[in-house]
This record gives sequence, C-alpha cells and structure tokens, in this order.
Amino acid sequence: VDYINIALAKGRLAEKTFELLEEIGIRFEDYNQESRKLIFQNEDLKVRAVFVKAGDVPIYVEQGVADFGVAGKDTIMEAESEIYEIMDLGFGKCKFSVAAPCGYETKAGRKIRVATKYPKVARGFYSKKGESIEIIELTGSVELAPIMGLSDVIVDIVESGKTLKENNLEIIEDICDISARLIVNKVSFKTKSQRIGEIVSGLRALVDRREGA
Amino acid sequence: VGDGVLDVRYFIPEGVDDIHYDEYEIKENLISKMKSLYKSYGYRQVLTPTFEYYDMFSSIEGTISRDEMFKFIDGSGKILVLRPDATVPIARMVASNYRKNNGYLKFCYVTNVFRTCNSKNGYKKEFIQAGAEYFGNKTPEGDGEIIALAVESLKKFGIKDFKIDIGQAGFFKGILRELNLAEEFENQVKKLIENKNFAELNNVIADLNITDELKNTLFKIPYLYGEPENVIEEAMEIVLNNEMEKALNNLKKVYEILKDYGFEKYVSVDLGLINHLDYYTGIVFKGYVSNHGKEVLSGGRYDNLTKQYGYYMPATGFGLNIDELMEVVNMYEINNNSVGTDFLILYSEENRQEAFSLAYELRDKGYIVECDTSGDIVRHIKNAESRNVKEILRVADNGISVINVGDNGTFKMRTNQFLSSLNDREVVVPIH
Repeated sequence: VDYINIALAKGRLAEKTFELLEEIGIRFEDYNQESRKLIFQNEDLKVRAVFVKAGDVPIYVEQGVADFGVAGKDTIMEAESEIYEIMDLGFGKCKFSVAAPCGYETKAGRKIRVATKYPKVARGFYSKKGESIEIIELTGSVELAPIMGLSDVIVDIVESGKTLKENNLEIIEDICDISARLIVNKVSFKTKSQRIGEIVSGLRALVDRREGA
Repeated sequence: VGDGVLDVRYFIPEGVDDIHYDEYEIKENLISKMKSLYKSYGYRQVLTPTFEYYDMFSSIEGTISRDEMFKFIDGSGKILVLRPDATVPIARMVASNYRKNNGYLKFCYVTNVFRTCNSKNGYKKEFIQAGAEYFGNKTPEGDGEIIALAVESLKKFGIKDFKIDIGQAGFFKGILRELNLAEEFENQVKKLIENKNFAELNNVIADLNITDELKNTLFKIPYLYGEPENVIEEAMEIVLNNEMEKALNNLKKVYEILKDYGFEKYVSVDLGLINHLDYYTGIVFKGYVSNHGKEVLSGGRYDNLTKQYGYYMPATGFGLNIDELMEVVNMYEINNNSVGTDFLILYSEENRQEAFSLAYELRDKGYIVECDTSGDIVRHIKNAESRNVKEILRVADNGISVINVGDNGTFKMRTNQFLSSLNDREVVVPIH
C-alpha cells in the first residue's frame, strides 16, 4: 500500500491537526513539539506527515507530492492553487482586513498604495471593487508601511486587532474570514478515494461534534 | 558570479528542457505507439502551424487563458501566438477547409504546445500533446469512442492503475438555467463546486435568494462523484428540468458504451467536474494515474467551437500530455530499454572497403553499426562500454575477431560464417 502524505506548517496549525488526527486514530509516535524532525510516520496505517513552510502547503498538495494538507485560508487564497478545499477545520480563526492610520480618508483622483504580504488577495479584492491600486509587497511588519509613508493602507490578517491599535491603525474594511482548511490533491482524491475518504469523514464528524458542543 | 548577472549563454530558460537520447528514445517510441493507435481507429494525422494570429485564439471561447499565451509581433505589427492548444487550430482548420465535406472528420495529432504558466510552480512551458478529435458525430457513440481511445492510450503507455473521471456539462448548465444568478454569484458557486469546498458552498447557498429545492440540488452537486451507476441514480433524484435529465441520460449511454468496450473498471463519474462550461457542451473527462498528482489527459464534447469560426460541426475529442506521462513512465520504470549499438567494426586501411561492406550488410539487416579505425583496443573497449556497444568486430585479412564487450570473450570467424551465424545467435538480436 502507498503512503498517504500530509503536508503541515510547523506551529499551531500542525499541533491542532495532530490533535485531530490522533482523535481519529492516526498517531505519530515520534512527534513532540520540541523535535526538529520534518517527517513523521505511522507505519501501520501508512500515513506520513511532513513539515513545510506555511505558504508552501498548497504547492505540495497541488503538485501531488502531498495527498492532503492543512493550511490557513489566507495562504490558500494567496497561492491560487488547483486543489480541493474540502473542509473548514474550525480553528485558526482570523480575518483579512484593510487597515489605515486612524482618521484616514481616501483622496479622489489618486491610486491607493497598498502594502501587503498578500499581493494576490489585495489585487483580487480591489479589482472586484473596480479600483486600481499600487501594490507594495512586503514580507513582514506591514503595519509600519503607512506610518512611514510607504503606503496609504495595508491588507493583512487581523486576529485581535491589538497590533493595529498599538500602531495607531484601524480597520476600514473587512475582506473575508479566515480559518484552517483541509485541502486535498485533486488526483489523490480520486485515485486514493477510499483511504482519503475515511480520513475526511472521520475529521468531518469530529469537527461537527466539536462545533455542536 | 561576481556581479550577479546571469550569463545566459550557458543556461536554458525555466520551463523548457533538453531531451537526451535515452529519454528521447522512450518518448519517440511512445509517440509512435499513440500515432499507430489513433490511425488504427481511422483518425488521420494533421498538423497546424506552430504560430498563428492572436485574434484567432482570443476571439473565441477556449480553455486557455489569454495570459497563458506566448505572444510576439510579426513584421507588420500583427500579434502572433505560439500554439497554446491543439484543438482550437484544428477546429479552425475544419471550419475553414471542410465545409463541403459530407462525412465524419476524424483527426489526430502529436504536437508541441506552449504556455507561459506565469503563476504556476514547476510546470513546463513547452510540452508535447497527443490526441484525437472527432467531428460530425453528436451521438454518445462519438464520446464513447473518444474516451475508449483515451483509455487505450494509457494502456499502450504500459500504465495499469488509472482512472478516467467523467462529468456532463449539461447537467450543471441545467441547474444554472433555474438559478438565474448574477454573474458574480454564478462564478463564485462554480468555483466552490469545482474545488469541492463544501463548507463555503453551504454558506453561500444559504444566503442566495432561491427556493429550498434549488438550494438542496446545488448543495448536492459536489457530492455526486464515484461509481457511475450509483452517482447517476442519485443525480436522477435531484433533476429539475429536461436539460438535466437529458444530460444524465447521455452520460448513462456513454457509460453503457464504455462497458461494451470492456473499460468500465477504468471509469468513474464526477458531476462536479464543471470547468470551462463556456467551452464544453456535453461529456467532459479527465484522466488520472495512481501516485501521480497531476492530470495526464483531458477532453470532452465541444459542439460550439467550429460555429465560432462560422461553420457548425459537432465535435468531441481529447488531448494527453506526453511529458506528464513520461514522468509516470519514469516513476513506474516502465519501458526501460536503453539505447545502444549492436556492432562496432574496427578496420585498418587495407581492409577498410571490406569493413564498410560488412557494415552496410549488417545495417541492411536492421542492426545498428558504428565503424572506426583499429588501434588501441583498450581504448576501444572503454569507448564501447560507455556507448553501450554490444560487440566489437575487428576485420583482418583472414576473417574477423568478435569481441563481446560484456565479458571480453573473443573468437575468430570467417566473414560469411559470421553473417550466416547471426540468425542463430542470442547475444545480439536486431530489434530495430
């Protein structure tokens, strides 16, 4: 029997996922949070979990080297991969928002400069609104951009809003909600349908039960 | 390296690759198998130009995004495109050249296709596509034959574990007719169904201003996949109109036809297969191979395509990605006969003529033969090993010495003896 490969991003999403998998009977003996290993195997069930960078999870799944993966909606939206987004796992909840310095007003006749780590999400959002923008792609501390005059607004993930507040920024628009999703390779879903189906329905029952509780 | 400027003289661009002789041999072998398969079904081979006018592709509803096309400009300022797809030009060819034709048109092709794949990781920008197009037959028999050809193609590749996943575009179009959604919502719903995004689909449907019956139908679509007979039966229960029923009956007929081909074990159904609804008008399908994460073939019925070039002719067809299949062949280590030479003939100036005539005779019998002047035999053996030469023949005045490169065993023979012994020998068998 071939292995089922699961791509996970090290950190909170992975821990939560391991928790869920354990509850449906898929345990990785050699996993602990301190370990620096990147591959974990359950040889009886022929399931293998690999740690990759968060943004790379959709790539591993799209290319089929991983049969499924767990990734935040934010990375999935940014990756624009051809995958099945089969399930909302209900954890890792936050949202995509547009934020600006308190009291910001849009000026007519000028393109908005948007600083973000998520250029595709930002471009998609503004093109739906029919507005032309300039993207300034950054890799971190996006909140600084409007303060330093690098951009007018930012598009970023907002969890509690604390970082925004402390930097004197406020949300001016919400884009969409984010949570962890179970994504599946489109081919594996068909060629390994039975085993993947079992895992998916196990997880679905579990998540439904939790949300009901 | 110093100033970081890439010296492009030594590099090839991303997304394209050299094909080395061993891989080329396998590839060519597979391609010729495909060609003779399609020919044996009466499909006649055609070839369209490597580049055509951009307007030809951009003015019609195809399956390739305009952004994915390689464009360049000719001397008069017109935009040209490197062939981004094989089917569209063949449909153009049919519509402009075969209007007086009275029968079916069955065409096959093996051709390279170019796509920019800008936003995609690790995809080839040039690859070889093989396929067949069947014009003029709008019955399920036409679709059945095309899918059967797709199945046979994969079998001919030596692949055992594969699936052809079949959908029917008309089924979902029938639902859309009832829904009457604004384009924005329609696209959103399509995308969610295509990605089997059950949770979000549920939320979006809940907010739509439509009847509960419609909501229920829409919600069930992404679940309609798997074993054909079960799925078709389940789908029958949520049929809302004539169009949907017709689509299902058509799908059922195609499945019955595939059963008579003996191919039912390769077939599954997915009514959530709704990509390119503007292009496909009936049956759609994709081919998957076990343990290979990307689709290897796709096809379907596209009755509206030739109409856009001013001449209606129903059509169905498929294309398979030879390069993707090469990956599969490598993964499963199918077809690993290596490239080699049967004989290396060594000669001195005095018997060069005799050597050349021996070479000629052997090549005529179908052997691969190389010639060189004799000299340092150790060097020749090393060379023979690295080039995968099976035997060295050293021509002398009184006959030839035969050296087996595998074990260096040597024996002497007269030339005519050698030639007549070839039929009984097992060491070297002509396979060419």
